[in-house]
Amino acid sequence: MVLATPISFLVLGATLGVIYVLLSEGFSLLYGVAGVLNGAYGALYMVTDYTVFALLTRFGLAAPLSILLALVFVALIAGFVQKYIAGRGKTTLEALFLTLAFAFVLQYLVQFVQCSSAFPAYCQYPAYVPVFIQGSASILGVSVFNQYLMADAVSVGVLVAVWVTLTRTRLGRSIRAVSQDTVAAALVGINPARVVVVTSMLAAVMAGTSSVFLASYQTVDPTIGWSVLTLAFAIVVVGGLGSLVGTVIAAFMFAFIDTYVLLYINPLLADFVSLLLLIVVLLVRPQGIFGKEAS
Amino acid sequence: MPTLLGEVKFRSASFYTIIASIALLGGVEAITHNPFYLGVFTLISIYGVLALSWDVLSGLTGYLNFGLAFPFGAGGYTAAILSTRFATPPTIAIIVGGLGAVGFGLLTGATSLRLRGHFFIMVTLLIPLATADFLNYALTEDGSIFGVNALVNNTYYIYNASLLIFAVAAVTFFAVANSRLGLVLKSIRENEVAAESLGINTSKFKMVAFALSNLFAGMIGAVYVFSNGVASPTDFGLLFSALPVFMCALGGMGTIVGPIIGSILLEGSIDLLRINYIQDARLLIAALLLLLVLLFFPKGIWGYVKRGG
Amino acid sequence: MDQLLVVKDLKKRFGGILALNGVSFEINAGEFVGIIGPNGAGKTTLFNTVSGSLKPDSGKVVFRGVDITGMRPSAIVRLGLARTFQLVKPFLNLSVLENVALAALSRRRREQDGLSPEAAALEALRIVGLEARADSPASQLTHGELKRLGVAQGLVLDPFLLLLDEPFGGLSAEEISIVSEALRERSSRGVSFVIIEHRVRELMKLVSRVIALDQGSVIKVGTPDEVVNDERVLEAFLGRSSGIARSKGN
Repeated sequence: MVLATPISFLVLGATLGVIYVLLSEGFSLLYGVAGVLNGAYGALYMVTDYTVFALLTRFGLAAPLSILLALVFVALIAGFVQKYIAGRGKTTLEALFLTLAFAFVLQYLVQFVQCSSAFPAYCQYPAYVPVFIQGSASILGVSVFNQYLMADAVSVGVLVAVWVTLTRTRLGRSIRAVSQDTVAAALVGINPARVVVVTSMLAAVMAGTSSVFLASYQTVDPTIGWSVLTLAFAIVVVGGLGSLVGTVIAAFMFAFIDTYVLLYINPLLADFVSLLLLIVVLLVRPQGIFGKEAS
Repeated sequence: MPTLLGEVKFRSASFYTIIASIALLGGVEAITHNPFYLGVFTLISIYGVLALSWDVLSGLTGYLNFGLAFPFGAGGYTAAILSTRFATPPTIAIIVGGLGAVGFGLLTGATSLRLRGHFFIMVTLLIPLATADFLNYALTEDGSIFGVNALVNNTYYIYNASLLIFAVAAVTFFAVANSRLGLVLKSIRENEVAAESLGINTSKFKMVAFALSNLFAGMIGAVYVFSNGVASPTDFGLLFSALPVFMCALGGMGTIVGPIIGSILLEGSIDLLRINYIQDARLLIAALLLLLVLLFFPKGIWGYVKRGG
Repeated sequence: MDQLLVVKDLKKRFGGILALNGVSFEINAGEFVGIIGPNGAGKTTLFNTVSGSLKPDSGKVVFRGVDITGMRPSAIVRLGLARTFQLVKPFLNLSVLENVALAALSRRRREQDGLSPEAAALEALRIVGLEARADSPASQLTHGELKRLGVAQGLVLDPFLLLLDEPFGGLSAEEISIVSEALRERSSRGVSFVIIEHRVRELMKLVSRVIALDQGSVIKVGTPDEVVNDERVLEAFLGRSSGIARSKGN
């Protein structure tokens, strides 16, 4: 792999951080607007992975097209989930349960489609999405995969696009209105339910985009949704629920911590350290770094 | 505190249903000697105990514990260590395993029960996952996996042990839920601040429910480990945390009967749908069943029945 | 132990707002005291800090010789100091009887009176005129019935001192009469009360002493007549809640 020098730590941590930002901002946006933790967020990430995998390897489509189609597909699923499943929950708790149940449905559906006696020809366990941007570049003397760099570029692009949408468009203003005060937003003619549906589709695209580039470096497994969900949740909580800025800072925190543990301590402990950090934050300061005081 | 027990109405449809379920599970042993079916119904009992343990804490107090795998695994490891290092007979190991889970639970409970709502859910979810991660790391360094002399030959012992724990759990938790203690726990769910202002020490009672929950989860975790022959980090896995919750949601939270119905239905369908072509889809079918019930019967099956009748 | 409750220099700040700015007063055993003040004066915050729902930033609360500052609410209740809420939030899915029985579990003389919690609860419901609704779910109560439920919960606890936060708010004349009578009867048996009320006319019929608050400070303590005629008190009220002005005009 790479030599563990301070520079490589910084560079790798930073490149990972950008992707983490994209991943967690989607979750943060959805929580801010819908007020509910979407238990299927990780599953949507996983489905994007698999869709890209299927389109690339089984149907032989070019990478950009596969990605685009996968993102559209996942956005539609997210909209469907929000409108017909999560939206039917009368309390945030019910919505959480419903999305969690749906996450399991997605997971087992993918498992079934991928490898079952009904489709014996397709079974391939585990799945590997081939690296579709080859080579690596040298940043500050550290060798970084080009795919990571592309991921960063795309992530930044998506984040900028989201930022522009939120601040300059009518849709963005509606989203911000609903996240501040659902009732008031409804009073001025905004349809909160529809805004939440659109936001969930946006969030899915953000999750999907980050998954696409990371897919090549992880085994594509139906269960990765849960670690993704935990990571996104951890970042959002540590950063402060409802604070988009806090999420960015926390995303980089986690990226650097994960990279540190990966490089210097022991890859097996990476998850454990993240979880430990999250538990500590939840106990000591549940509202996160930038969050509002818990009511 | 005899006042807290009060009068428990045992002559009710709920209790009869509980007795019926115990009879159903016990009856299997009388009907068949097929180890496959015994194994399935053992699993149903195990998940039944987990679901019941979830309900007595989370269904009643509203503190949704998504980390039942922690006492489950802790009880298993405790029993495994006792059995291999201290030559403890299984029955004692199971009981002490339960107590061990309560002990570990005191640590996790004292800290996590201070949190509310989503935060409690997340911390409890993460504790067993973090434990599993740590154990994976520690064991890889160490190069060993805790093993227990498997009682594979004694399917009956495992079956009876799970059935007994199930029966005791069901009756005990029914009594708790329908006593004044149950009322106190429910008041915490309804309005914790108000309960506190009416003189109820909510922290104390939350810990009581937590300890009860952990005791039985730990004991059944020990049984599970004995049936597997090995205590491993997967015992702290997500499935043991999530499935009991879904079983309670399916059957009806806070009802004690609900978790029994949910575990029989869900685990039953997972294990018994072993027919060609459907076999690989059984988890999918179970998940779909769960989703559909949650969509159309948000109060769960027993919750729906109770309201109608 | 004549001084039942001693509140010394309580201060509480919420962000930029100083809700309590050094509040001090005493309540003696057997007293029936009223607290008045315009909205935002800090009355409910005062109750919250005394009863343990909130921790004050500084100051002391001593009840029957025991320093209860910062104690948890349930411990304070068990020492004999209870309170009711302005906005009653009952246990909605439980019955009215169960709502009061839960309080009865912690009542002061539970070991001595030989009653079951349900029996004690039923008695308290009878006193406030709610015994007919004992088996109804609390979610079905009217506003006035809810307030009376809160009073029943406070009474069943059998405290030495009961703090009532706007017990008459939204009640019909008949309900006010029932509750007033219940309070008066208890008072004659030695229970001490502190009441926050906006319905000043009803308040004045019950209390022997009034404490007036404004913007987190005590501005006047005295008999009902003294307080109602005090300049500073009138100034605090006029232009905001006009309870005093109206009752004076009558």
